[in-house]
Amino acid sequence: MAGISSQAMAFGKINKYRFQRQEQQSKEFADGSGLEMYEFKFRFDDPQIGRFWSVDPLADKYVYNSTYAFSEDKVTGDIELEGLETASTTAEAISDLQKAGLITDKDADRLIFNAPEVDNQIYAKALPIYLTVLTGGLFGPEAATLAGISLITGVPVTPSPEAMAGPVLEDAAAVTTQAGDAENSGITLYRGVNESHPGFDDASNGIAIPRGGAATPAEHNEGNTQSPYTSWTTDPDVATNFALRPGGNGVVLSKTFAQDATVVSPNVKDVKLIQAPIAKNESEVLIKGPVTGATPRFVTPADFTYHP
Amino acid sequence: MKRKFPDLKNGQVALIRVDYNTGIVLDENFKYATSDEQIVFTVFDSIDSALIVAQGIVKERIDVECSIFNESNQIINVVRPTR
Repeated sequence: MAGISSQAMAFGKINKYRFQRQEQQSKEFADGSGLEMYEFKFRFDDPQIGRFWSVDPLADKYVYNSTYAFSEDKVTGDIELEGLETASTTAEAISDLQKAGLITDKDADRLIFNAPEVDNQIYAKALPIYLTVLTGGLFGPEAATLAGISLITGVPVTPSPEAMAGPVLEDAAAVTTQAGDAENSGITLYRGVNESHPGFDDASNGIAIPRGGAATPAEHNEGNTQSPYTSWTTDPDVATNFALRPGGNGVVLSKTFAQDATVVSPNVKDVKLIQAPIAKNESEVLIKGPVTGATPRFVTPADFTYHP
Repeated sequence: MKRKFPDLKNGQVALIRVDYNTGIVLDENFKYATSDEQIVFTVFDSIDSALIVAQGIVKERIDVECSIFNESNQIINVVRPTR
């Protein structure tokens, strides 16, 4: 990196702990030559060929792995544990958060050991938080909510302004409205989520996450919600209807978006409200990407007098 | 609603079908009504005949509910499936 060298970071001394925090054996001989390899606890790794020099000491237990492979050939999502086996960086992230006292043991256990049953999205959301912690950045209630975990309060955290502006809580729809910019003035949108909907827990915390997929705005509006969008409406009554259907309780999210953060929906559907004898246009507006920081309002059928 | 309400007279009523889970208005073939070409309103000469048809629909399709409009474009009856 221009302007920053490993020597500068080590205050003049050569920093030998580099790749994966391992000591690099380099130029250790009198003539200036060296082994040029990384010294993991159980094996030496040769970075020039991307392989260990010796057989995995646990090779008999993990016969499906190549005996010389580095990090079990999973070099993007995992780290090498001292030459023996790999560990998921996300699992490490969760473990680090637990050790730091930022999440409960119960949350950590649920996220690490029940991995097959946990929505992969939780892992996807935990990783950026881990990276933020590593870089000394932001970790707060909103980030914890994104990871689907309960933040233990009382842990001193001082987010820097740079961290606050960082990508961890990137909200595709949260665009600041410029004062006096008429074309980009704020628009308040609403989104109703029923308690039977898989996104209800997120919605209860002011979060809306697209299902993901390639459906266009037109396809989304016509019912294919496998898209990068979430569906909102300008009409709070319509959102309340979606919150209360098919039955039980729900939550209505509200948030003011910049106009240029919205995606035009063909908006071709009408909706018969459950809470009133009225059918009206859906007034749909789409928002691309995850939304955080919306205000949740819980609704129940008892809030209304009309019950067909 | 975006769709043109039918011209009703002499006690006629209009029936619409909606998706029970969302309230989204369907056409006569129980597809989302997304274009003006789709038929949404079914007109009956009396509320009684409309109710009979509505009850038949929700009995057959548990994901559909029916609303019945009077000639003033007001919903006077809603028939929901029994769950």
